[in-house]
Amino acid sequence: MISIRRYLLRTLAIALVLAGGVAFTAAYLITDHELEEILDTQLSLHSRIVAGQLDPNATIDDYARLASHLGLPEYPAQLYRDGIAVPVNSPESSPKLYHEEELKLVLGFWNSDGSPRLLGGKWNDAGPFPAPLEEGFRWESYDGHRWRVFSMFDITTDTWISMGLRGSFHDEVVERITWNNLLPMLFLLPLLLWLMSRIIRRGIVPIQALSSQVQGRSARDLSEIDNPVPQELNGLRQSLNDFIARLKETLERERRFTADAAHELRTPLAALRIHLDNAQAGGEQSLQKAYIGVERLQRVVEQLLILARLDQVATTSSATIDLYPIIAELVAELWPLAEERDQHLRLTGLTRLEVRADEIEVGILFRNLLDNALRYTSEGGQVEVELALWEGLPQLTVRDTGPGLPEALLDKVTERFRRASGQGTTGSGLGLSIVSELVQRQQAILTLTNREPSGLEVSVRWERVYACAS
Amino acid sequence: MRALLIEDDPLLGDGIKTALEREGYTVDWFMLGREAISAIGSETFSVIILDLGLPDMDGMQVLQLLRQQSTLPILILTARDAMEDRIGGLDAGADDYVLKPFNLQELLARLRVVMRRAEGRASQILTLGALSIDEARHAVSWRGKDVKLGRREYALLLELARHPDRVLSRPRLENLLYGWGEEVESNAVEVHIHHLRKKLEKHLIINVRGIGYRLDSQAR
Repeated sequence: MISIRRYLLRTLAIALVLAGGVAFTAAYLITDHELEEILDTQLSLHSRIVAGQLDPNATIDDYARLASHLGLPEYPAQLYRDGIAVPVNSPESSPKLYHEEELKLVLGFWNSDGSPRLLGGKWNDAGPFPAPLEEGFRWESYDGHRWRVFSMFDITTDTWISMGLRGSFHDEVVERITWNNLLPMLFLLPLLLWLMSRIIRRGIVPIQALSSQVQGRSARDLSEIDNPVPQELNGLRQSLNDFIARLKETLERERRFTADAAHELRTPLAALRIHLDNAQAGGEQSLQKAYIGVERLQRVVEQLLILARLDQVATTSSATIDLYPIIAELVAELWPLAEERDQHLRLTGLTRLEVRADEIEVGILFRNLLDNALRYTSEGGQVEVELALWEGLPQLTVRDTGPGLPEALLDKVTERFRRASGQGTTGSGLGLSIVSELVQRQQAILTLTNREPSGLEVSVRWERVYACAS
Repeated sequence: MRALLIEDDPLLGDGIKTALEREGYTVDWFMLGREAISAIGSETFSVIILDLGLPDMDGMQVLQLLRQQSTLPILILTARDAMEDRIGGLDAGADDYVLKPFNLQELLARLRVVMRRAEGRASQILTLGALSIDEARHAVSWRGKDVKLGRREYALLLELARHPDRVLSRPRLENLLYGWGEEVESNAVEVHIHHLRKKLEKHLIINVRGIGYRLDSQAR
């Protein structure tokens, strides 16, 4: 991305130059047109005045006298008789003083048959100027120059009258007017560009201020950005602040997780160590207790690894699977645990229940649920596993007769390392967190409810249901 | 020496209790902070060992409540090794901390240090006249000669020696021997004191009739 300042400066400069160019061209074309109209008006007006002055009975001598008046030194007007030039004798009345530009304005008279009668100085240089063929304005090339010509036919004197202005006169005037317009603009352009760059520079100062405030922060500074910003940056500042808040929350959760993980790993390790010390000092039961410590440590480590793996893999490959064989297998696997504690473990409900999920993940999920239920249920208690359809949705339920959970904790136990207090049982505090993670990945819903008079009911309901194959 | 242990983890608590009892401590173990706080008002302890990761109250809160009610030395056990957690514990009133997992010998040494500091002693060898007790080695010598003592005899002698010339009541000494909630044989203290007098010197421990016993710091 190029800088905003450079982008604005560049595009505005180009726009300015383009606008100047368009204005210049428009001025040129408009002046050209308007001047042509003014000059045309004058040509026609003067032609009419001349026509009005012509005497119908004028003789050749009258024209000779007119010729002597029209002629300029070195460019005498030419009188014609029957198409042949006739010398004009009386140049004494021709003007001594005239303006250079007069050479560009010429008057001519033709007979009705198209033969020249009297032509001004410049229209004789390369033979007589072409005779008019119809009334009106036209452009005519003659002797290497372009001429703007107005022609009219005077009936009373039976004469064609043409008045012409050399094109270069018109062009020069247009050019001069256009240049006079352009020059101040050319001087102003650099000034404008300089001003623009200053304004742009000042305009983006708040952006730079904001970015330097963000840039200059230390990685640990997660306070809000609170310096004032213009309206346009308000949204950006707001989203930055929202992002910072979210980051803070995530970091805080990570920090808590690390602290809790440290506690859950180091506590059994400390227990293990002290029991080994005791065993060395001769405690008979200490070695056995050390083994319990090792098992607990192993469980925490395994569950941490499961969580880490779940965090890494974003999506699950899910196929339609039958829950029953998986659940039945796991119930059978954990049976000895229940038997050891004299607990009554039952599997009820459907013997075929299809869901769209990953087989291994369902296994981990259910093992954690059942493990929790067995762990928290006292000796002789009951644990029931049920497969059912609930309003057409497949549902797995684990019910126990344990102590249940305090109402306040029901929503929170799925957080990592949350454990109900005052329990003699030692869990890692990770089981339900793993369950909730897995349930989310399978787009299922986890519900925890306390039972009457005591116990906990945990159900997992799969939302996406696919038609049974059978 | 009677220690108050506040540890929510059954396995670790069991290990610490066993280890401390082997060292001659009497241990009262509570899993919840609030139970420990109510116990401290009614019983006498030499030291408090507190695990900061308790389930019912935040460990720091328990620490502050303990500190409000007692000036006993407090040693905290913590798994949180972040600097702010450790400093926070000391600032909240703990005398020392031990990071989990800890070495048992280090735990015992730190317990001795905090108790010694609470009594205003710098050395770990307690000397009173001809009696000297090395707390680290549990060794007692009288007039320069080592004396072999039983665990309960040692505990009684140490408690008396820590408060020389002060009369310690019989119930207090009984509590020391058996811990909270356990049955005490009615004449246990008399029996152990009798043995101590026999092994050391008859006039070292003086019987204050109807009240208890005191240790004569001038005995030679």
